[in-house]
Amino acid sequence: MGAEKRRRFRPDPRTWLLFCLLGIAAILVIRSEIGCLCLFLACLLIHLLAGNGGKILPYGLYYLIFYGIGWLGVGLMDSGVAFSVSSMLSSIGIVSRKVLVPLSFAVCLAGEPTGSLMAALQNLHLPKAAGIGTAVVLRFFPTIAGEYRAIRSSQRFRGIGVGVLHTLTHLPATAEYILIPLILRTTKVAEELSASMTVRGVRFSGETASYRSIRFCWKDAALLVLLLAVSWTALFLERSGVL
Amino acid sequence: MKQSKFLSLKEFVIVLLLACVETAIGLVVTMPFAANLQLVYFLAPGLAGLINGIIYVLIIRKCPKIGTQFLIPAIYGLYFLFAGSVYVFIFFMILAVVNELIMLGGGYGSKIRSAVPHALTWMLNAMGSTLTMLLFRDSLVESYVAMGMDAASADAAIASLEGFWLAPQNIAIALVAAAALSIAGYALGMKMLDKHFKPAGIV
Amino acid sequence: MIELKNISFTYENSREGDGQLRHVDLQVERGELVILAGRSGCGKTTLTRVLNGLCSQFYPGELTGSYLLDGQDALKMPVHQLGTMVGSVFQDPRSQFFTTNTTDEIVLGMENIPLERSVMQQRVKAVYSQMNIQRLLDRRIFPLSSGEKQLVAIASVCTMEPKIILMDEPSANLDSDAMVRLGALLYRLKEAGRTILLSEHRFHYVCDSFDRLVFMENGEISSIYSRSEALSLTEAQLTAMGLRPFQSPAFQVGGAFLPKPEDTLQVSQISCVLDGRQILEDVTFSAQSGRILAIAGPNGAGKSTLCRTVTGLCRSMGTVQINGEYLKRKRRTKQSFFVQQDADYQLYAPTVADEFLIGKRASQELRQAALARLHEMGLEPFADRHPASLSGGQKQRLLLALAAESGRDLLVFDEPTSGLDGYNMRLTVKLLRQLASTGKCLLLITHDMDLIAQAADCVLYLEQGKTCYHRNVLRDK
Repeated sequence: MGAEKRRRFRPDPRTWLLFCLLGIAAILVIRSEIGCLCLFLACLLIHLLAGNGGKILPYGLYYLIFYGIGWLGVGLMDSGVAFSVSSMLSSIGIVSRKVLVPLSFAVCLAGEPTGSLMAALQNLHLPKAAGIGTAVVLRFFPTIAGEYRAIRSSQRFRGIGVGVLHTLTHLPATAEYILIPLILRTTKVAEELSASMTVRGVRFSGETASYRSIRFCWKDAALLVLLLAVSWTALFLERSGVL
Repeated sequence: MKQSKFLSLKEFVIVLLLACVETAIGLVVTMPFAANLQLVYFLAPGLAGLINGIIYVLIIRKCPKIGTQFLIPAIYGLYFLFAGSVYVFIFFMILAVVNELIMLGGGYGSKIRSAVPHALTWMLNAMGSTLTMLLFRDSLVESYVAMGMDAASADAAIASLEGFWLAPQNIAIALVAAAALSIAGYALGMKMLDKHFKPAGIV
Repeated sequence: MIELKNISFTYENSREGDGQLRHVDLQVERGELVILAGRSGCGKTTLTRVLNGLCSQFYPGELTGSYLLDGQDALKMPVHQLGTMVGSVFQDPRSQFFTTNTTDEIVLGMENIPLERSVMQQRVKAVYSQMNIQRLLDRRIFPLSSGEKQLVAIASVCTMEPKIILMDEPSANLDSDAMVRLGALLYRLKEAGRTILLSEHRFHYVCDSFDRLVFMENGEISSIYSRSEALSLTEAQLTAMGLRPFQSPAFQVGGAFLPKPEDTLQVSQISCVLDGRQILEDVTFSAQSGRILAIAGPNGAGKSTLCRTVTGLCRSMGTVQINGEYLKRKRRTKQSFFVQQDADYQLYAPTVADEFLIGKRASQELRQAALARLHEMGLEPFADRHPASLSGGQKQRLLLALAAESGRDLLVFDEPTSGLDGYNMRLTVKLLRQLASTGKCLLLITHDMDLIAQAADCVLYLEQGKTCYHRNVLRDK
């Protein structure tokens, strides 16, 4: 029991979901650069307190890179360089920095053990199909890049899409040769995966029990209050003209 | 055995996984064009529709049931939700329901009706950037100013950006291009059905 | 326990009767370990699917006959209910997991029964300790090796405490050690009173524990052998039946392999780090034209990475010479041909014959050459078929034909006999030897001791990214 209590705090999956939704709302209403920076810093602090300290550096780097892209876009816009490029660069740089906030929470939500996620969705009284769908998507999505790489590496020995020039000059055939094995493989995985689920009793109807217990504790609430408070303050200061 | 009108677990997983691949292709196809306004608006959505037409045709041939049309835009819309574009997500969810309604009552038996949901999905995708831009309009102005532009220039830049996204002729070009390429994708899918999927024994 | 009477099954939209069942009668007693054997496509997998309810509740088709399980009519049970009595482990460990975490995967079946949480905790603890897999507790599944994934799949079934466990070629992706461990686990499960049906091509690891061997041909059970009868089948009989041998193959490795300057492939001091982990450390070896080098070692030893490096797919330190010339990565890819394990990624054309025209300008000569090669590989009747509709053995032979037709001197094959029956394995060995005899230099990444024993001239054994030994194969005969 003691060991249980000493175990490192890990937010409830529902907390990550609320962070996501709160983050989405916050980036819509907070418009100033400083307000967004405060929101982003609060987001990093939450990751630190939730035991995801290792993510702070990469997210910080992404923020700086997107800031650079935005700055470059705005600079080019000023200097009158092709508007179609500069406007896109600035939009990407500015919007992507904002999106980092909900997206970082979504990544944590996706990283939760499938059992906890399903238990959380069950507690939220969502249909069982939502839990099954979430689990299947989270299990499959990370493998798409690997499947693509496996196809591309095999194609090099067959003289398909070797080099950028060859790929561009044979684009339709290359696309077909990538897409067809990818689709066939995905269909096969889908059939095998659903067969394996079926024999272990996964179905849309019927009751299920959760092995993992999930608990929304005061620490979850405190973190949510933190994000809410920062967002609220930034918004208030913005509206009152301070930021 | 009596066939259900709704997706079975197996069909649900097939549609989900193939919809994931569609979403991934939709995102990857946009990347090379991301730095150019015209290409992002006029070409990328249609191109995604063209390639995904092959997957779409396979999905509706393998799983012509209630639920299929809902899942495809729903998965794509979820990506927009977590990327902060609530409007786009809501529109995709509405489209998901609309697509299901389009196919009710024997829609899968008609080749023309079956193409409509696919075209609508990628036409809405063409409007995704516009909606996102409108959502973050004020943020863009403030950021422009914070990054050294004067307020008048920032307003002018956003106005010309808005002018581009919202010009009726541009909206028309974007929608027509997305629709035309998506329908071409659907036709390509039908060709691939006979060339690959049927002979491979997966349909 | 299991009583099948006159069971027949035909898949909806099936092609040429592959995998169908015809009038199967079988009785299995409690606590028996029964091997289902036969050539690919003989109906073994379909029989396991009838037993676990997937045919016809998941794979549509026409099912007739009667199936009693502990006296109950199993054909009337919904598949999820049958799943609590008949646990199933499938062949490919990569595609059968539903969750991203080992513990969630192991408890999945119990959650769906559903059981009380305290009962689930007890069973998880018991299974972890019974299978000695505590190290796999609460891990992400993606980075696990095939063997570990297969153990998780078995553990997931065991926690449901089914009366019967069905396994469809569970050893197909396992290395020798993992196979031995699987064999020991099956023995313990059998001792604990579980009934086990094993659809398998490789029998070494259950040689000491199986009770009966059911031999199937063309969807029918053609004979059932007791353990002693099965073990007394001669090599000629097993070959005629298309089965692999029961005993581990008799061969030894010995005599250090001496590299020569004229060797086709010379690999020197290859080191490779991927994702911050050292995969290969200072590996040096060479291979000669006209000979077959088997690269063996446990899962995760770096065999595939080594071959990816040699063929230019992977960056590394060290040098690679092909035909006496030091080559950079891109040129190595152009001068070699790497057939990877999963055929699904490597076949792209709408017909088997068209596979030979990919990446080349189509001509009549090329088509003729392709047909001649297909004839040589016994694939000519399938020239107009879609490659995806071929069986596993046929796909492997097609890839072999494509490698042969590529005209490259260095040919690399990753697990070319994984999941192949005795007939297809022997055929593959014959074709590999034919290829070598034309002066090609062949590398085989493999766990398959039958393949090494029959095809390899020398063995490079890797462990934890380092060379353990590089020796010649010494055969008894």
